[in-house]
Amino acid sequence: MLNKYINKKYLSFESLKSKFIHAKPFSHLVLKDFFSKNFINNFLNELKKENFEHKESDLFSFMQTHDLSSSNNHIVIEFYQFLNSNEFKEYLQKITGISAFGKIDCSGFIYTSKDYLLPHDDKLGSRKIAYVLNLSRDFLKRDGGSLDFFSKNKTVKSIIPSFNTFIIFKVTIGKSYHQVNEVLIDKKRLSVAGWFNDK
Amino acid sequence: MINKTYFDKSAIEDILFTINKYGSIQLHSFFNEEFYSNILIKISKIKLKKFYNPCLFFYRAIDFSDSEITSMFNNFVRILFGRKLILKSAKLFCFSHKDYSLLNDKINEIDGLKVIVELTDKWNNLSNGYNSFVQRNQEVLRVNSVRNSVTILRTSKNMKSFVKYVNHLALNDKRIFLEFVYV
Repeated sequence: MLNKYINKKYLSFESLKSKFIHAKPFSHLVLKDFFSKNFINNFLNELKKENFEHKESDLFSFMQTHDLSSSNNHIVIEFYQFLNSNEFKEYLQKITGISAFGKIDCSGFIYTSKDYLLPHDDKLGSRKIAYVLNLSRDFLKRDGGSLDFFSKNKTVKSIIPSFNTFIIFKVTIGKSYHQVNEVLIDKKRLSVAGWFNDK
Repeated sequence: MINKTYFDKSAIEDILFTINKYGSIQLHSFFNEEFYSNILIKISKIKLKKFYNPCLFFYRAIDFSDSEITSMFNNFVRILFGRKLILKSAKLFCFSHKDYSLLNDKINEIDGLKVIVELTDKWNNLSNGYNSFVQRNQEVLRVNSVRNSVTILRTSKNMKSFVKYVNHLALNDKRIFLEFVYV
């Protein structure tokens, strides 16, 4: 099944394992062109048809779908079922060394101008691995919307959104601090994000 | 000086009635213009300290020690409530683009009175930066920046507050306010 959905260059996981473990400021991977082209393009077209609702709190401002497990769209469900499959979770376990075979959380997000997610460590409940699949094209550094990783209260890594880039990081209390920088222009930052949970 | 209207007996009764019924009131054109302009000049000379903990807050502030302005507010709340209230803290805050404070599990408001003195000359409210007071996960009061206004609200230990992230529409403007806490 992995062959069908994932770019072949990522099927060998030995080098990914080392990169994940040694990444700074906390274990993570940034995997460009992660999903097969046809699959991700189809998924993007169908995801855009989902209902995104505005969500706001002290910590964030963005548009979010319901959990994609409840989608009525068979392409969206296919994507969800792949991420939630034991085969993909075993693949992640081989890369990260983290066992996260519980039900995944998975929602679509749109950040438009003025939207943001302030720094937090994601540690809540049974979350083990956080993931973000970027689905936006043409974002530049000056546009905002980067995923920023913190170390000692400073941003030490900024990941500019780029299409079909899959990011995973280990959720660790008091360590995996990250934010989505405010979007500064009139562009849509589209992504799918969530967590792989412990059983 | 404080706008004389706010010392009228009927005005004081109305203010108290509103605070008792709704928990808060925002008084506009609070100072006369000349005095307000002088406060802005005075405030602009105060050097603020940066407070930065990404998971909790990012702003500038300092303990406020100007005796003239502090005494003026101590006196105003004494007249308003007919008794002397104890000043617990007086702080000057400044929020600009990218600044915020978050709800904190460990910090609640106290049973008392909060007075927010707006010292912002120009502010686009679409840039946010408002004070939000929350009780049982519901916002119970939002204090937007209104030039030369004073907001008085009753606070309780079941209440929390935050200042909403200031977005890029703020440009180079700064939201500056004084916060007096009385018990």
